Amino acid sequence: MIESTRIAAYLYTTLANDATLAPLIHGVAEGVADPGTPTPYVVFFQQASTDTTSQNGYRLLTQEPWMVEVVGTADDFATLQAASDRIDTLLGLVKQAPGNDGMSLTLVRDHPTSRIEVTDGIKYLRIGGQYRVTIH
Amino acid sequence: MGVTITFNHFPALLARLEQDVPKILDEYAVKVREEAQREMPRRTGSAADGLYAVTPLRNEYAQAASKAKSDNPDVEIVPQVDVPSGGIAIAGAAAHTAAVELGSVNMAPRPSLVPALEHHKADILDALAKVLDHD
Repeated sequence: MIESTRIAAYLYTTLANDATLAPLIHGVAEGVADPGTPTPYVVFFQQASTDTTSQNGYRLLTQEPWMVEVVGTADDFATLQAASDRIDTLLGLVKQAPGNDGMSLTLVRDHPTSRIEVTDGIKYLRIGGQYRVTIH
Repeated sequence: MGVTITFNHFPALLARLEQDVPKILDEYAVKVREEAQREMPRRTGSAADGLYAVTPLRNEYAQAASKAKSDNPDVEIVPQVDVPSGGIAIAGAAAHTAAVELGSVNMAPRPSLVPALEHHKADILDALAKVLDHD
């Protein structure tokens, strides 16, 4: 079973279906938004993945840092701040009981992130956090 | 009436830490930088070759910036990151390193630095713990 797909599904479902976050953004995407998506929007992506196995090779758990950030133009700071705060509320500390596939998941924020990107002459802000997901 | 014997190992422990920890962190900074360079996507190679480590024992910035410029004369080189005294940093001299690692509005991220660090994290902690276990 590939844990990354479960994590991606959890993140997308949680972020896309939140009634507080939805009015603030124009969508949620993994990796990169579809061309033409207006800002602000949320992107998330896996940064790494590490299995912890027993001495006889049985997989005990998997840890994956994921980046989740809201992307928008610099003049929309208030919306970006509200959206990133809501993301942190949703993901800052999560303990999910086993689902139908038997996997349980926890998320803890490793650290907040904030960076500026200038592309095609437009200044974007990307605000969010790196979240450590443990799934087993 | 009794006998009191006092041991104080802290000075010896501190001396071992001051001697061994910089070497360990330097060794693993290079390993992480090397692995990230192997894994980073390449076109001209300026982002990957522009990766550098700064530790108390080395500073690779000048060499990395020069190599990145050699790979791609049009690449924008950014200043060396600020590193606190005694600190460690692994960074990119090429301005577009962040976009390669973290993505942009036009490009999906292709991480290599974070996976390299995660891959070595357990070994780093083990090596540091062994300093404290030394008899």
